[in-house]
Amino acid sequence: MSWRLAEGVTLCWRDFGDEAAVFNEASGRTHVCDAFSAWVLRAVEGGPTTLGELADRLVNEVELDEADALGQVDKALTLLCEKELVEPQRRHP
Amino acid sequence: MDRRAVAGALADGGLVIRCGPFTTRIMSDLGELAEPIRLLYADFPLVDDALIDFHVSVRRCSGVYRRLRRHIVFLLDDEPALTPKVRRLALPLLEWGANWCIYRHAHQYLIVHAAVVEKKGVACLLPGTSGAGKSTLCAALVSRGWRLLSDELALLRPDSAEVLPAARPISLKNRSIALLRSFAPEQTFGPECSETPKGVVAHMRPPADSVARMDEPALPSRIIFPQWRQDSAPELWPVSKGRAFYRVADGSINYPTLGSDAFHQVANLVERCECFDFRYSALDDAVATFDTFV
Repeated sequence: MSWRLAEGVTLCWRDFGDEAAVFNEASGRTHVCDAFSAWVLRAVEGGPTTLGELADRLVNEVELDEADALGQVDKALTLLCEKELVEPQRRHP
Repeated sequence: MDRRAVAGALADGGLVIRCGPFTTRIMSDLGELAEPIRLLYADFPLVDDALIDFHVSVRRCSGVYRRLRRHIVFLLDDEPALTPKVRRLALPLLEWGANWCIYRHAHQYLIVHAAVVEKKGVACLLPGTSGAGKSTLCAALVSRGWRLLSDELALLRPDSAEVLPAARPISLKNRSIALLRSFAPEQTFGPECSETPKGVVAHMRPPADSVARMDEPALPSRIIFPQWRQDSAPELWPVSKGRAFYRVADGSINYPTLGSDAFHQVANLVERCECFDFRYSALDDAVATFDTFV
């Protein structure tokens, strides 16, 4: 299963060092994220991607074992999904 | 103008007052409004034949409201705008109504629920919810040489982070009234109105210099979130930009209306400002802390 931006979502970004503000033009809602959530959201914004691909990128960028990376990315994706910013993209038969 | 002239103007054609970017025609059939208006708006320019932004009136209830004979109503363009109130709340109703006109109709600006003060070119935005102590702090600062731009609604220009002055009488509530009367006895205060939805309310006349400089915008360099706490030493500590962004956006009255424009405006403001939480109790200490900024 891969993840993509939720349907219709277009994002405006503003970085503030360890935090970022992101405006969802579709809903009119603003979210303030920590740097890690922002990293995950930007990665998904770049194109559909899987949990495993994101975890691999994370392992390559910072010293983190694979299990930790998977756990953290999964947690961030769940949170972003609750905020209706990302959604799972299921493969059709 | 003396009280009789003000009463006459209110009753016949209206009193036209310019306050920063807004010109308002005030009409009223309540004679008791004349003296507090004369007192609190003494330094404001009266305008003739102006392009008027808001035609407002505070009147005895009539028409559909005639059953509320002891009540008064605030009207914008002859349409009731706020819930009728008992007659002794005429002045607070006028002031609340004037704020209502701005936050309902001035979407050419980003409107933030904040006081704004400036001294020697250093402007501070003081956002805060009702009861946080921003008006008390603002009144203390302007009584000690800071310029008042706003005590309640900060107006940010869309094309810059500048704040436009809209100095009006400062609304003080409950304990802060006696506190300011004692701290700045030289200031002029309007009548105290008790049993309002906000408790006891009284207004302090804005400094004449702030009114005279109502066409000079200011560029904030600090965002300070005030919090009055009894017996607390003045304490200032940094707030992250993300958190400051969230608080300013949350305190903006028309952020949802302006959408992504408001997002960028708040972001531009927060980027250029140092952001702090500020806890205080004694007004002298609070003013001394602010004076270190200039």
